[in-house]
Amino acid sequence: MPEVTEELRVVNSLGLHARPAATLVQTVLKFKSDVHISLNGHRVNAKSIMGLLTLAAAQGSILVVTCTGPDAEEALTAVRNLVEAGCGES
Amino acid sequence: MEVTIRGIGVSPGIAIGPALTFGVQAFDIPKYQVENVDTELARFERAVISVRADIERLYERTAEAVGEEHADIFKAHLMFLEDVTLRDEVERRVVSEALNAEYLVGEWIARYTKLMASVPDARFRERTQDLVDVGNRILARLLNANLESLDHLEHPSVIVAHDLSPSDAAKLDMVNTLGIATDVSGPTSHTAILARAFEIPAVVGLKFVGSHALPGDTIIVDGRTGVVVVRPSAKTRARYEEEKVRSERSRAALQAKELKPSVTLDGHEVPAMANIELPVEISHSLKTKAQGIGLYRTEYLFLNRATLPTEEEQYEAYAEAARAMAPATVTLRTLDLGGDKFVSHLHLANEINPQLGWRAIRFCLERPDIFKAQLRAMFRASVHGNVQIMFPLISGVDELRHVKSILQEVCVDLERRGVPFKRDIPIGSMIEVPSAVEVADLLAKECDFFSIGTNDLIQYSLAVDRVNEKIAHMYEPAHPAVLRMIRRTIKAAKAAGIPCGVCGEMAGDPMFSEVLVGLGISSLSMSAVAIPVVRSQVASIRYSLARRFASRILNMGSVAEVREALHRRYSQRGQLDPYAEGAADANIAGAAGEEEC
Repeated sequence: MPEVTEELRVVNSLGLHARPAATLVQTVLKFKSDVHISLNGHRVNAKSIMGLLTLAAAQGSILVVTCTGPDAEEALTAVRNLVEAGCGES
Repeated sequence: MEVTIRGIGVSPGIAIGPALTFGVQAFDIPKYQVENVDTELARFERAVISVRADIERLYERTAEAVGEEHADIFKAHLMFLEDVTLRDEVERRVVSEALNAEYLVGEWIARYTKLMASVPDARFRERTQDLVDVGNRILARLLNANLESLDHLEHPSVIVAHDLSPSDAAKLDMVNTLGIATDVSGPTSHTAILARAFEIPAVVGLKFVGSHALPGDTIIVDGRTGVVVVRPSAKTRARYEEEKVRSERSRAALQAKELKPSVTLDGHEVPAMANIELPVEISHSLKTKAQGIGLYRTEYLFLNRATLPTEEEQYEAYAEAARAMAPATVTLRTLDLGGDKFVSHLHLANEINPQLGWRAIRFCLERPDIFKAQLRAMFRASVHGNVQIMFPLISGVDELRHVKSILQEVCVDLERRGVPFKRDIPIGSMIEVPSAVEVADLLAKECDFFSIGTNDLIQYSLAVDRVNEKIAHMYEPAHPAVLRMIRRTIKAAKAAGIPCGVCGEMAGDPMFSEVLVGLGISSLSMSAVAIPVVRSQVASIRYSLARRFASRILNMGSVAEVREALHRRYSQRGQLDPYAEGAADANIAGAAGEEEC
């Protein structure tokens, strides 16, 4: 099973709060692969809004994104594009 | 024992009935081993499906009543419901441990509530309530417990609660909810907005009503004055019953008959306009034939959300109002946040004395990014109708000049970009700080209209915080100082040849209609539901006599005298049907006779 990992920086001025977290969940739900995000040793399922909220990722935090599954590459690309674009916000 | 509590009236009208106290749900959750895992999984699945249907219904109902932006919270609830951790944890443990679903849902709620409570950022923590709300819905389904149901009340009742969540407020049984009284929340909360939309009398910010009222206690909610009486004496109850019958009868009579224009018997016009808080209220205003929007509060665009509204979003909202009301005017007030209103994303610090703090125009002048985006949106919307802009909390000439220099920059910018807008739209100053009254003659030379915000003016000039239980009774529109300040402001406006309206609660109180008209006010702006009553007041008075009445009032020294005189004139008018031929003339003749005594 392919697995890819990348570090991504949160650019949203308010961090990964409810709205961007929801956008992120909706995006990763489209993929078959498992997507996990770690921050400071806390690892959550990126398909869970609550998981993402408990990360409380502030602006500037570095997320470690790991995608595992048949479409891992595509999933990672989608997450990268989204996080770098501020998850639809600035 | 009769207990009187003062809060903030957010939806007018009087309700009298038994209290239905509505509290936080506590479930007794059993834990047991299930015999058939598949049956248990199916039971959980059915609960989730029915909760999903419930939430979708709440979304639609709220969106229809007050607009989609206020229904967004239910979209968030759906996400919590669909969350993979819920499915994973419950389904996995049903299979592996053969435990019952409600126990596992309870564990899930507890686990994530705890996790979210440990998050250092308050904005993330705030979402915990949504999680609990959704979790409780699933539990109620699984346990076949009725969530204390607000959507089907058995008897007509007055809802008494510490607070109502958006879900609770959206479910209100519109037929059997007589009135609402809550301890917390303010005029822009969901509860307040929905109560107004459904014309249910409501008072919020009562602080202690939850601990005073027991289930079944008779309770009176007066949404005009913000007074709530628990266990009223027979005398108090009779007084309110009478007042309720009178206001309902006049309202029904007003609705049944063709509305008269807001013109006095001797032909002096004082337009009745609407104050609006939400776009949905534009249609209410049109229904009551409001002659314009005298106060368009823009705060709703900024509240209950995590980010700032874009210029485009604001432009759409203002343009919609301008188009709907044209050719009547729409008076847009720039952002009046701070004070008691809280916006999480603006990082407004908690202040010890928020009413005297960093709010309204003071805030906007420090945040030109926010202010300019709003002004650009307003100017762009001006091409769709008759828009004017007014500024809250102006305390003197320097502030007004500063505001105007920013306006100038915005206009130059729009012009350079070739964006269409009307350059000459009227610019007004709200008069709500005592210092502005003192320099009203100077301000009048530098703007196009005044609008007196009586709520704040009274609060600031009498030094009364009306949310403070101990002194709220000192908040008094009939105070001679308040009436003199209004007269002084009108005089300054007249000398400069600009109009001066009133847009505070006083404008919507029929008791004050005659004195305000007599003082020379040029328009009255109020919540739409008050318009028919106030307009009928205006239509039943004579301007020449109202002026004499006003000058008599101005010579009175005490609040009691003023109140007594206002009440006498008002009840004389009220005894006669204002629409009966000659009735009002006879009424006024009687009043004039009394005056000469």
